[in-house]
Amino acid sequence: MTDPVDIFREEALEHLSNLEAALLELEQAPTSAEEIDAAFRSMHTIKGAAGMVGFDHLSQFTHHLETLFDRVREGQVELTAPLINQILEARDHIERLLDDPSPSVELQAVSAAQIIQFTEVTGEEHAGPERQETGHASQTAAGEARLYRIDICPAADAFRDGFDTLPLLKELSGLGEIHVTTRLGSSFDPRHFEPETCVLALSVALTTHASRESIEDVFIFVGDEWQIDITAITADEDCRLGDLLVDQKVVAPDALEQVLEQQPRAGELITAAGLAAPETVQSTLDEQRFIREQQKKQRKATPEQSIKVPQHKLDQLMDQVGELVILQARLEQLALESDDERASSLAEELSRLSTGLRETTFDIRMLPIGSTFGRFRRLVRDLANDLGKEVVLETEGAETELDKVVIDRLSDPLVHLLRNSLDHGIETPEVRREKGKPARGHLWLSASQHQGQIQILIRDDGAGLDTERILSKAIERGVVQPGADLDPQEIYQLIFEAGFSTAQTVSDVSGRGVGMDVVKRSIESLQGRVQLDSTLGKGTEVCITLPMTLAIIDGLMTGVSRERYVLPLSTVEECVEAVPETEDENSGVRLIRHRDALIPCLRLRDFFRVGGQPPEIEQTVVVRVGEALMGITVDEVVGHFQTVIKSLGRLYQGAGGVMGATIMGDGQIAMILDVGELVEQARK
Amino acid sequence: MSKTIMVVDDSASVRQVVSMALKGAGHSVVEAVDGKDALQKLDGRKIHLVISDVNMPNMDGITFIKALKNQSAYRFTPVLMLTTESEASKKAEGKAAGAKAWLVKPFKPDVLLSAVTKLA
Amino acid sequence: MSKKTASAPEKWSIENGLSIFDVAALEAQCPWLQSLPRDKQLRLRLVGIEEVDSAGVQWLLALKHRLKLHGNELVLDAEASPELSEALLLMGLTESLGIAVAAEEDA
Repeated sequence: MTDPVDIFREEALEHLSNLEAALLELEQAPTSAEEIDAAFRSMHTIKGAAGMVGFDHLSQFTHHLETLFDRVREGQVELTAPLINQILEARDHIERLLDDPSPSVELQAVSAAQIIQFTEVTGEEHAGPERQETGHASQTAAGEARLYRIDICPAADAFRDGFDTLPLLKELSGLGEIHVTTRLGSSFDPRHFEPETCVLALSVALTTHASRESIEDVFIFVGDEWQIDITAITADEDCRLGDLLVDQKVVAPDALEQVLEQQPRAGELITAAGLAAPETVQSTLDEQRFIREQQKKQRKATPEQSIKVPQHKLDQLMDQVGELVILQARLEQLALESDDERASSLAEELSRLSTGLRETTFDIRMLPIGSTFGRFRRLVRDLANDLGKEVVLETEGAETELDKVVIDRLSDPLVHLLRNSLDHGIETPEVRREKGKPARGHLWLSASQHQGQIQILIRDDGAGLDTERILSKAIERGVVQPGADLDPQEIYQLIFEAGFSTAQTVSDVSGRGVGMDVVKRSIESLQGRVQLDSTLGKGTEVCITLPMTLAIIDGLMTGVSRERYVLPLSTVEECVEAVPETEDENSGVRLIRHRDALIPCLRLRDFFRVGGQPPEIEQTVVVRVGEALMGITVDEVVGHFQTVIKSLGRLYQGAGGVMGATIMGDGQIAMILDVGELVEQARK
Repeated sequence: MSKTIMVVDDSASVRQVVSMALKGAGHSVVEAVDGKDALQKLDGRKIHLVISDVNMPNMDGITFIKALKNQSAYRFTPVLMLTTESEASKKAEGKAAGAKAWLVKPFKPDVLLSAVTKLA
Repeated sequence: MSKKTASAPEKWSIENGLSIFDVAALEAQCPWLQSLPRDKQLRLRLVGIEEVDSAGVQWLLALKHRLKLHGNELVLDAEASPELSEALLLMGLTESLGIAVAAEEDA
């Protein structure tokens, strides 16, 4: 059983029976601290877990029971027989709420009625959990995501000065999750509108791990006349719609007070009283929701019997381990050159230690990818609702571990792919029925480990890709030349090309300009590959292959003349020397015979235009990427090498076939080959 | 999104470094060796950002920016100036002419790219 | 660019540019804003907008606002221009500027 919702249900039922047992004990001994604690814990756990798997209503409901037991524990509330009866009723109600994350109106009404009963006892306001969590997460540790509100009021001359807010927003969105509200500010005069004068006012809610300085840094070039206010919002700070509107100067404080005195539904009243346009209230409501969701997330991040370490400390540790590995290589080299036995035994010892340290450090950085999957469940549910589609998301392999950095950077591309599947892949229930498919679509998301690499599959049973449409679109957009002869596989890959988007219309979900090319780039920046397969009418499958980490790999060092090249060991099948070779008559590609099959072979000397003469006997390393085999011919195979990957920097980003460099024991630089790309090159 | 960026500098190596960094980030680059050359190469084409040196032969950076801002097609085009430590006094002049941001040479490519993302 | 009309058009197309370089010219094309009959709908087609910045978006917002003051409604028809939809998304305006999905029969 790997579906988190199923796990949650099972866990919740267990806690409910714990609750029941505790209640029955408490009937006899209403002050048993042990039983009160047990009851409190069971409600607390259900509340927390429910929120994680999208059972928000249930989470909210159990919150009130948790509060109740808290009060009982503190001696403020007495557990009377009628109260215990009420709680038992609530227990049965929770069991019903476990059926569906969004319960029916009737069930919600039952919840409301019960909540009123409990809040009368506890004296808690009905407002829900937001207010009550004070003290749990008031201080935010460094490295934890923080929520900021950034109010931006550009100078009137901003546009004329050549400034635009879009790059700034884009940069902010690079720092974390953002929600932007844009309005015409108070300086906007509809009778005298000057289009080149900036009258916009923007408000950004940003959840980020970045420091306040890096947020301020986004605005370093804007003039002094811009007004930029950056406010940190703490997790337990309640954010009221009215306050937001006043903060945004949409509504004057005293006008708001008057309305609020009248009664609760602030949004409608403010609109009705004509204080603000409905859209403004709506967008502010959205912001409020965003802030609350983010606050909730922050609270959930409270640790479970483990030590929390800020990410940068882990990064530091990783860097230092990397340096250590390089140092060890240098010592080894020195021992070898000086032919000193004692030094070489020391080097060996150090090598053993640094390998162990390296593995431990990796292990610390590894997280199960399931933490991200949980988020997607919610996203898929909400999106499916918005699009009027019925979709079930099934996940598998949530326990698969990946470097935290990789997980973080993988989240956005995965969201995009899921959105795509929902928006373009899975059809509406009507269409599906017409096609004889079940009305409810299926999305599968799975992760698995495979030969030192992580494979992530996103599969849907939707409409599939229409090769003809893709091809004609690609020709129209100039992505391929008319008359190009492409097989379906090649056509599918076209949608990853920059400037290609099959979305015929702008919809709210995808087709928002962040195309599949961005997905591909993000994956490639993680040294990964992405491939797509599809069957018209049946569905689409996207396969992402990633290395488990980005910092240190086991490599095979090879040499061509005096140059050194490292092949990731995970891709190496075997090394062979002096192989008979032939040439493909059509393409002129060198082919070598490998276990009864001809495989393409690339000579590094030619590929990187290394000077000098090849030795009489060359070595060929056979590598595998996915299903594809290829030979890479070098002068010599030096041996196994723990490789600390150093980024080549942006200047070399275009350098084909290379994914990084490493520093060897003697201080020389060796290039680390991007085998996947070499294989692709060889195919062409 | 890819932008078209004009790089004006009389030093071929500076142009090379800047262009490579920009191209690496997916932008298109139009290179010019001085202000005069730059004005000729504008040619009405869409430019999202101008990166210009201050001290150049034929036409210096300040004069070039003034001329650029006088053309209606470029009156709102943002300008990033490249200066050296010793040219600090030129900042005010550049600002008056319409330059919006400065980088002091030498700078790392990532500093340049970070500045570019803020402007275009 | 679009045709210059003295009276309020019911449909209007803007092509290519919606940036600081275009807004003054666009604004000059709508003197009729002041003298609109009430309860009209202006359908604004945004076709292949490649250049868009916040000045352009501000102009759209201001247009919508002013039409509304006269009891009119602005409806945006847009074909998938990634640049425009990205800008609206970034500025959080995808919903409130209400881009109608351009139906195929429009073309």
